[in-house]
Amino acid sequence: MKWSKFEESKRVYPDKVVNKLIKGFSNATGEVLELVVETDVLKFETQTDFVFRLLLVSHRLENYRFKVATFGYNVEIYPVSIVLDEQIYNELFNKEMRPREIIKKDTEQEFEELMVQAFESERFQEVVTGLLKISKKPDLVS
Amino acid sequence: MKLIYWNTNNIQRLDEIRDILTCYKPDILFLSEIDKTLLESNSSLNKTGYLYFPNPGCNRVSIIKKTDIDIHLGLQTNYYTFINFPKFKTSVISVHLPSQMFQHLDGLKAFIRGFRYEIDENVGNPLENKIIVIGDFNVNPFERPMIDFDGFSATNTVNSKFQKRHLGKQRAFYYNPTWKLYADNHFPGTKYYARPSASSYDVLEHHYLDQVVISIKLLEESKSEKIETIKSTATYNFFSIKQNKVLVSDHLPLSYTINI
Repeated sequence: MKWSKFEESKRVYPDKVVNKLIKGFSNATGEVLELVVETDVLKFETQTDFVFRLLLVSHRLENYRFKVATFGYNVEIYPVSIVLDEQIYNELFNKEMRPREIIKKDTEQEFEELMVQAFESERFQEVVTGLLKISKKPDLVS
Repeated sequence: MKLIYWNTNNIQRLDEIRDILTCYKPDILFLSEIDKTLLESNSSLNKTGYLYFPNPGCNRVSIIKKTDIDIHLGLQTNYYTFINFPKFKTSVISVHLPSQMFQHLDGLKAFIRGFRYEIDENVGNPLENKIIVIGDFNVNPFERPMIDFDGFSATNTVNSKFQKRHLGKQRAFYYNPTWKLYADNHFPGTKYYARPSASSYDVLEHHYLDQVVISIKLLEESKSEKIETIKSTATYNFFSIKQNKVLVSDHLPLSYTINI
């Protein structure tokens, strides 16, 4: 067999998509809060080969972490599998999420649109504004 | 350390909660099915020496703590709230897991397996870390989501190897003191629910959906423990002996004290 030369996929990694979206978030919170993408080694939620968690953290509450979403992919990169925070899901899809229900998005664009909707959800805004307030409350800060 | 968990079934006032705090004096009271705005807007808790401790990100469990104790928030998800209790170097996790009214037991087991993974990842191995999990698991202590190797792996005994290997995988256990409560055979549960499967096939009517499990490290360092359901306070009855029925809410509050 004669092999033609393989080209690397041009698909953008979902973690890169999220990292691009979260740029500027910390600044918008006065550098108090931050969104971080972490590798999930346990991989139990999306059942994919590569798994990441998107976490909201506070610089003033050392151990606080709120899981906005878990997302993962296999070697094909897309579709990407996403497990959203339940209340973000309920709000976006206007129905009750089954525990750890997986959403699949076939393209980078579809994934980006979903994440933008998640960041614009009332639930996300409520957690961020609540956490901002608590992060400035002296008796609650670690 | 004393912890109380209560699923209030959307109680609309704080009177019973204040009475629990006054009579039982827990370090932390965890509440589910409670309107957070009721807790936020009511300063009368402060007079009892307690305050509402907001935990944004977790809507299914709220925290009330003694004013003078120091706790820190950890991982928050809709179903559970992680906190650190530095005084006891212990991680406390309170849960209100998905209801068995809407989920298949296998689905709950998958969820609880994932929850256990999340504890292992965020807090660590139960053989090396002091951990308490308290709350509404929505399954009984004897059901497979709690006892299976690939469930929560919570045993009913203090005499165990506390870890096992199965098909190449190592698993450390938790100890579930809730089993002690089965000595009460008049109302062996925190909730009465006649037929979970919606058929007369089910025989059990009383359920310990509210439970406490502790890590082996904590068990080893403990001097004594006490687990009990709260059936009354100075002013209120949460249980009618005459009717053999839960009052106020559809769950009894669960209290757990451990001396380290």
